[in-house]
Amino acid sequence: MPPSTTVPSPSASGLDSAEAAPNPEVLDRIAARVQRRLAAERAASNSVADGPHAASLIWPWPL
Amino acid sequence: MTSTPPGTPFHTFILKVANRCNIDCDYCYVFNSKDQAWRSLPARMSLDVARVAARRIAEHVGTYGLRTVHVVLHGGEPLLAGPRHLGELLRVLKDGVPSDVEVRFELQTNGTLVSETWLDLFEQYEVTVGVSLDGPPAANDRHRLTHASRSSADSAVRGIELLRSRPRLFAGLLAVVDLANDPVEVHDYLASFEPQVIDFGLPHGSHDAPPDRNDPAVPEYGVWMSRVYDAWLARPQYQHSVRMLEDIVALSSGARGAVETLGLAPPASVVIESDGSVEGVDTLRSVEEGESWLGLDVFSDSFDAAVHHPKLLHRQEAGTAALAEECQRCPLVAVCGGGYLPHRFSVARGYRNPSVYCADLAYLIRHVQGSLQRHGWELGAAATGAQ
Repeated sequence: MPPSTTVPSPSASGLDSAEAAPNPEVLDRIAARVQRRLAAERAASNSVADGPHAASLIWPWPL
Repeated sequence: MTSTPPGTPFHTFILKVANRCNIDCDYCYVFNSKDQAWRSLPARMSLDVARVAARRIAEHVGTYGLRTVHVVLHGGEPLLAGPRHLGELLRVLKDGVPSDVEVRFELQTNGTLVSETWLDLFEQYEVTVGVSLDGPPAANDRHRLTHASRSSADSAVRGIELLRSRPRLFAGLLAVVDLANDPVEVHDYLASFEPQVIDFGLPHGSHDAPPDRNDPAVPEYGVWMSRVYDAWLARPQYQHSVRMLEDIVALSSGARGAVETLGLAPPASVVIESDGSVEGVDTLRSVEEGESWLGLDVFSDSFDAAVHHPKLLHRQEAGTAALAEECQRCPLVAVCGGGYLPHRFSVARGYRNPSVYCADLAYLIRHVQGSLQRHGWELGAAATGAQ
């Protein structure tokens, strides 16, 4: 799942912004957090991370 | 060893410790929505209610064998309970749950009343704090004014800066989207406080009272959030996550759990009002008078009664069974989950509708997934509609 470090192509959608290209460092950090989260879900004996309340800033996964 | 009973347990207990607010956000689902139940509720939760709520939480973790629970101090503005009273509530809650169960205390505040006294209390009980802020002062002032129609931005920022002085306590920032604000400006302003997490909520709306749009033919909220996504990915100097967006990434990569607005995992939170009454989804107050009311309270009923309550059967129906037919056929359903419950509501069809943000969510999810694929991510089955 880790993102490549290739330079991304711009979005094809006309509605998209002309925002700067995604930074590989940021994508790597997100990939690492998501990997930890998937591992935590696989290891959890109960689903403590299911459906956190939207109107509270709960972050039940490893950061 | 006894087996756990059928049903999906609650992992998050939202305690409405104060049922008043010192500011007057015009979009607030508690005070400025169709449901005006707050008018008959106590201004703050008593120790008796907290003591019984803690006993019910202990009962629930015992019934389902839970090892970790979240207890969220919520309002109204929870700091209106006062530091001495909230300290007593925290002590009662901590003492009432078995010591082998990890209790993670969290608090959601508008930030305007934060002081060193509060920070000391939060440190004592390891309470992590989320602050609601919609962006730079001009953006925040569109909705988050005081009762005297003055800006609340300066006092909120002062509270955030105090929280930053004790970084372990600062969970992050929660903003409500307004299309009139510039998404990149909002993102960058919130990011400048260096929170661990930022999240964005879509304004409450239903099929009977749809959200404001400039052009109904354009998925404006999806476009707005996709610009936040692009800004998030282009700023290596910041470390934060954006909850909604990272949830879309995680769900697209095979994760199960996500904030209750996304994915197919059942909502895991239950609300205890200041009088001890129990609600399933408090934001349903935004759609209809009494829609969140279950007729249960902690004095008479266990949380198991809420688990099996007819109004919360959507939690028990596996997968997509509770969703509209068009949602069940949609390839994106494992990521959007059919949308947040209040956003699916209509008087005519209940919750068996696509979200009023359906086109926005589809646009955003495709934008995120397209970006990930261009960078070599292997998306899970959820991203392709295979389940």
